[in-house]
Amino acid sequence: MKPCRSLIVAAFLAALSSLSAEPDVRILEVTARLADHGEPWKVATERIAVPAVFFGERYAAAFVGTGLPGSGYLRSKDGYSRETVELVDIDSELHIAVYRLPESKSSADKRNPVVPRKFDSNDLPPLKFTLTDVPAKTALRAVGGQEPYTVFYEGVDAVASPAGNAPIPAVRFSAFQASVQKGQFLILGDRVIGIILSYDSRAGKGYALPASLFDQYLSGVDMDSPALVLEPMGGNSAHQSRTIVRSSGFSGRVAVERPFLQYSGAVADRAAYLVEQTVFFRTEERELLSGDLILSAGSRPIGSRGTLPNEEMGDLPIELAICLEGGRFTADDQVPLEIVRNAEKRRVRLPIRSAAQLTGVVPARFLRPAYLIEGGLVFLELSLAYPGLSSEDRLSFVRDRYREGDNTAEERLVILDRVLPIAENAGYRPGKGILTSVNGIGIRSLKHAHTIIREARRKGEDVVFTLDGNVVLAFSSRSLAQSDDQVRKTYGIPFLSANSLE
Amino acid sequence: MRLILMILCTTLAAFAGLHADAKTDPKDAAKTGPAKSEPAKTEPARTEPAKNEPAKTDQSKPERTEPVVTVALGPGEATACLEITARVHTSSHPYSSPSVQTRRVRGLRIGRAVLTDIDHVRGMTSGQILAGDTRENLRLVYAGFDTGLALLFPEKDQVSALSIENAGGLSLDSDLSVYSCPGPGQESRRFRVSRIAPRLPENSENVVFETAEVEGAVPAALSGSPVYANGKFAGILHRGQSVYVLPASVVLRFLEDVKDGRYDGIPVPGFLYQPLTHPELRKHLGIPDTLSGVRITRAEPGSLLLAGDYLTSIAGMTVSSDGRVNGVSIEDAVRGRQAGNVEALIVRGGRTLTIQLPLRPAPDARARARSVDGHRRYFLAAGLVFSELDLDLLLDTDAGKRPELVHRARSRLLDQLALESDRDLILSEVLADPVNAGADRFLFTPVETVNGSVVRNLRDLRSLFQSLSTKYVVIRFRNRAGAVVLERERILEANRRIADRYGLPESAFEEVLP
Repeated sequence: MKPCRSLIVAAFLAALSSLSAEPDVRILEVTARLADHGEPWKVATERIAVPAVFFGERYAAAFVGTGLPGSGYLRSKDGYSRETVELVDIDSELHIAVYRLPESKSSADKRNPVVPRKFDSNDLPPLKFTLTDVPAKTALRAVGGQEPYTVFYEGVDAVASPAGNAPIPAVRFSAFQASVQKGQFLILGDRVIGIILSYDSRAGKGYALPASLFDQYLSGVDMDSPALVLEPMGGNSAHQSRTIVRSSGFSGRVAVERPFLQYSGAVADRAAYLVEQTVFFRTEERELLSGDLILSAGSRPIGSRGTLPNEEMGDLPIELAICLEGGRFTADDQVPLEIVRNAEKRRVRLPIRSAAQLTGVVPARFLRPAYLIEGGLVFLELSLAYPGLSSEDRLSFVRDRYREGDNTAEERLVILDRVLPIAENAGYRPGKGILTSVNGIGIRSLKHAHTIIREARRKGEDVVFTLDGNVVLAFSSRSLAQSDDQVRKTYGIPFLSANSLE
Repeated sequence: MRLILMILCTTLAAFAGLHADAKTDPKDAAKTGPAKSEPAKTEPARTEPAKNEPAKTDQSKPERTEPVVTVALGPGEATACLEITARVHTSSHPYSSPSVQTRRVRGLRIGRAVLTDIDHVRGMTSGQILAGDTRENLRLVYAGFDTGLALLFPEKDQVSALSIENAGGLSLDSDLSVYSCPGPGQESRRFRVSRIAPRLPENSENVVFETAEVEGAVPAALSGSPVYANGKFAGILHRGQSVYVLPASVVLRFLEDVKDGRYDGIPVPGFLYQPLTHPELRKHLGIPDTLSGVRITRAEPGSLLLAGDYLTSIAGMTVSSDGRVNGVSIEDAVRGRQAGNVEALIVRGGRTLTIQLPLRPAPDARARARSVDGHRRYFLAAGLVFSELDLDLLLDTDAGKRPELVHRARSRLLDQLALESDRDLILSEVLADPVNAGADRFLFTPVETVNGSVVRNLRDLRSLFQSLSTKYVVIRFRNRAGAVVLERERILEANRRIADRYGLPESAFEEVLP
């Protein structure tokens, strides 16, 4: 009989207050598909070993890195037998997944399972949420995958989420280890304090996902849900937005320069937070614009370092602090802010949104980026996941300009990334460019372009692409149909558009 | 590779034919056309001495002399040994006093003149040619900013037009010889060509040349030496971060360019275009089968060409629909000519028009080359150092690590950046002081406005600073929120304080302007 969700959560919460022994951390071997962001129609598959903490008799949670995880195995400690695990759920922003072992069907199986199971709900380790009472340099144990070793608690920082598009709070630790494995669990006493996300061996410094976020994610998982099968083409769009991470959609710095504050109409002897960037389409909402100065959030004035206090984490940068309640992300909410804009004080209410929805990055980064191939022309959307975004000169330039634009939530830059040479596009070698219109209609997103092209092709009309810089590329619908076949045949690309465009 | 050289030769021959067809010497056309009437854009590169620096190079337009001095360069005869004294400024601290260096370098003796690598004469204050126990003073007359070549003449000599008779080509099979200074005990070194490939010279990002790379270690002292292959002059050896031979064809072109007494530079098209070979594109644009040419997609501001024009003929030669002229690309065809006006046929709105198309280096060509005088143009106030975004800044400072800056410096035509500024100004350094607290966050960011007025160049910036009477000086930067806000009354006091703290010479605040 499958345990219902409420029972699991109850067991989970009960475990929080129990004093139990060492958490049962074992290694899962799971397949992971790695999307190639340069050629999104390609997928590399590899088997990865991840430390996972087991709980609730047959559940395990693990940090799975950047690959799209699939099913896998739990290997016995002697390595001679293994049992299948299935993927139950995944947070596409935090890259944390829940796996499930099959339920033992017979009493014989229960007595003699393929892989010995000694974990049950009481094995779930308690989690350590409040970090403000942990002194710096407190020794922590890192467990999972190799002999446990010691690292040292250093504090809490804001770091980019594993998906890379929103800040999250993270436990900062130091270590003397040459290699620290991502996904290992940091234990303080008998409580999990975090899961290692990153480690810089040269600096001897790393970051771990705090237990509070781990707990928040697990509390929302439906353990009874059918096994998750993520489509190879990055489908399952309903799942893509599954994440607990919330974002305020801006970043900036504390401004303390007296002349600047005076000139801007802020109080010169009080810190203000200068909004330097908003996410691409935050401007649509107009609550907060780049250049605004934030004086206070709620009734709390900005700290001299641009921070606000958090009762469980200590001081955090304002853009993250206003998204948290204790160590957890808030539900969608609005935060009252006192700001100065154009030398005038005003009050605004800033919506806190799902980071994935606000930035549109998670599906592209974690799953497969959206792409469209027409006439051998490969179109991609400009997102944080776009390869070369930070290194390609013109794309950096274009992105900076685009940020300044007045874009809505649906608007994305569409890039002609390359031309796959075939007979139908001979003579078209325009290099990279921004797709500005199709058949004279201004393009708002790749999906928008896809819709226009599909409609034109259905009607048998020509399709005319216009790129920035006045470059025009025209195709008849007949030659587009022929080019579809050519691209499939010549380049072995089975699907000429990502599922997410449908 | 022989094939490439044959093609190059064919191309040169084609242009020789072109001149005959046009019945007008394009060089002469250049000198009488609009390009000539815009000296700010077409003036030859010359050294520009710093204030208080004795001008050792001829700043006036050299007198043209006839006839042309034609020289046959026998192996070993034409190596010139030079001693150059130069002031070396640093791009990262342009206000600091320069160091003085004396370099022993080499060059190619052509008659009484000396041709050498432009790197050797950067910041030159004096130069001498050494021949046995005698020395003769030289002055820098022509700086080929886009070729990496410089031509010097004896101080007392008139400038003459020069030509080389026995120049040859390079191939992978070539055995290269480089000779030490003429005289008893003259030595030679041999090298082999490892690769012939198009590349930008190290000191300019304007034009790609077909250069020869050589095998083995090449001592730095050989840089600037003439290189011989099969007994013929084959090019000038460059030894900087990389080693290559700038071929004789580039040297000949340079000498041809300066025959009239000034260096114009290598022209570029000044427009972007797309080919018209795709039948469905032609159908969509309504282009008749009989029309041969390309579609203009971008043109320099002020150009007679407009986006959407069809360029069908240039200098009497048909432009094919794949963008070729006499078998070479439009870019190569243009580069093969001397600067000047050429007749072009365009189709606009169904009508065929004849226009005089000026061919000249890009408006920002000098910014895309290392400066010859070695000076940074900068403006320093309140500890903020503003510099022009040019190749020196890209190569010598962290500006080159900013992709958006690299784009702004290198691809101004595509995004029409000339409409925004003549040349971007970058906050290149902040000399920390309470007056400019927080300004370092804008390091290596282009300036956009000062007190709301758009800054198009360094002069704008200076005059805005000098003319302001407001309480605050507000400097805003491109694509960046916030601003540097200075209290105007504190700037002078801060300048004094900063000069003391950083040990700056008085001249540091005398902004160096182009």
